[in-house]
Amino acid sequence: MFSSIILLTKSLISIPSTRDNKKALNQVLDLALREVKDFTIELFEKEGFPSALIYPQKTRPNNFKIILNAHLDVVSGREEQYKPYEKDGKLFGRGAVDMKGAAAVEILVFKEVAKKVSYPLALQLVTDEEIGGFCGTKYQIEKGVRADFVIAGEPTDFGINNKAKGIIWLKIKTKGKAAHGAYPWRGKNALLITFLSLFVELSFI
Amino acid sequence: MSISKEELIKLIVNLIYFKTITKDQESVKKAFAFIKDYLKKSNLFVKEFQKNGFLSLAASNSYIDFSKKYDIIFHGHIDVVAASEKDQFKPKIKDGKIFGRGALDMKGGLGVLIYLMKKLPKTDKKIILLITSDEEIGGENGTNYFFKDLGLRGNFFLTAEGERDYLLKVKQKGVVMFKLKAKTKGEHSAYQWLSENAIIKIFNCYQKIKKLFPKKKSKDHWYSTINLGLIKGGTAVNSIPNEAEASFDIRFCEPWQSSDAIINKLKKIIQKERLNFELIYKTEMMATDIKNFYVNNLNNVVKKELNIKKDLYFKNHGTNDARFANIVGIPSVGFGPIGDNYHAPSEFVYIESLVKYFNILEKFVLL
Repeated sequence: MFSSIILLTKSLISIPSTRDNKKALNQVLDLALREVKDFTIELFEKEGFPSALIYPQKTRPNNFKIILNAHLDVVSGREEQYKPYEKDGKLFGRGAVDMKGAAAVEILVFKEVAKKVSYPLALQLVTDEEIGGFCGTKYQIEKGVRADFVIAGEPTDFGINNKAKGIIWLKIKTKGKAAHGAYPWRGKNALLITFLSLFVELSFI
Repeated sequence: MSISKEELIKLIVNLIYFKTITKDQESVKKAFAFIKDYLKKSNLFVKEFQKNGFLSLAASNSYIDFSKKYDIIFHGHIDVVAASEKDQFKPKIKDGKIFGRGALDMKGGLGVLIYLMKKLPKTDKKIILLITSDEEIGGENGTNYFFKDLGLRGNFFLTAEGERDYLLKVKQKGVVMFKLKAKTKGEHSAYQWLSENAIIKIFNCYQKIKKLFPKKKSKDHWYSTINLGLIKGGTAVNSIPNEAEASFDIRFCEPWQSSDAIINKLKKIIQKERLNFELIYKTEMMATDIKNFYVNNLNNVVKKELNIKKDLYFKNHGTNDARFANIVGIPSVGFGPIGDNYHAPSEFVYIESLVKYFNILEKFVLL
């Protein structure tokens, strides 16, 4: 088992599956799916990002008990980072910890136990986590995939990560009134309006 | 001496034809050749100067020698800002106005000064006209060359900058322009406690600097101001910016203030905030005493000629080259003919104001 985890992790790392390399995203998913070809594989695709849901049943159950979730995309790295190597008990390479190592484990665990457990278990493989997850995990949820419990194999130093902050990304556009710099009272400084409203009045800082 | 309106208009129109945009010193050279030729038949002494490639011309009724003190120093700049339309260098006369690039800023006023020098009656006063070619980019190699490097001194200085109204500009704010640079560690934006934000650092520093320049209630806005004009920083919405820079424009006018006094105060705050300071530009303020003999005389002549009762003293928020003379202790004013739309395509000067301007200066010189 141990050697097959290392072997699979290394082959996953050797594919530069970054957001802008759609070919590599398909390749890395194909490689992973080769491990679970004896199961039902449901393929999804949104905006060019492929993902898969794998389960032993012939048709998808309404509700899984547990879903093992893994993403196979990585943030961009230098060319040599896609050549994995072992040293001092560690495996080095782009995505080794985030999260192709964990993905390999989840794939192989699923393969090992999915048909043995008495409840519906699924493996969810996505390729867009690093840029938001909207075309992978979120899209599958939109398509009705449900479960009582999900484990995403992200690295947590063996901690159980049960909370995550919400995010709001926003842009403020301010229109002021231009004037010569010697006559500031004739204008309205758009930079100041932005800063003062956001930082001073809302006191985010 | 009587004025020939036609000759004056012709002179100004000819000056506008030269495309004397500041960086085009070849055109300045041609314009100076034209002016020298125009003054050839007069008894004036004419001399050309040059610093860092910028040409200047001086014309005087006495031998040009900067070891003596002149009574009156007249000044005009031949350079203009670039024109958006080509035909701005083809002046047009319509409805009593001369249209063209530089008509108001400031070939109109300059033309009057050249004409006045040519027609100058006999006088004991030593009068010199300086024509420079770098006012639009700061005046360091033109006007300031005469005062700072050549040691030119006099009892009175007048630059013929045109305005929307007849104004005697006796005060000007000083300028300090500077850049602040901040460097921090930078981090993923979800981990705010791991790094300071370079943009916010600059903004916080600005909040402290701003206290040096409190807004005051005053109709003429004669208080010092600071403008945050430019800010750069950040690479992505989910990164804490690790580098930022911002540029500021201070215009000062309080009696205690000098550019160095302000820079010292700025540096104290900036060092405390651990930011980097970079000076972009500085120039001192101008404050001419209105009780000065020449200034007072000019004010009286203008009032009489325009038939008005109110003094025309004016405080200038922007700058013109008169400050260079004032910095070395010469009572200085900006005063010119009137028009509108300077630096714009429809720039013009009123012909009638050119005539009035000539009459005023002629009476002033002979007083």
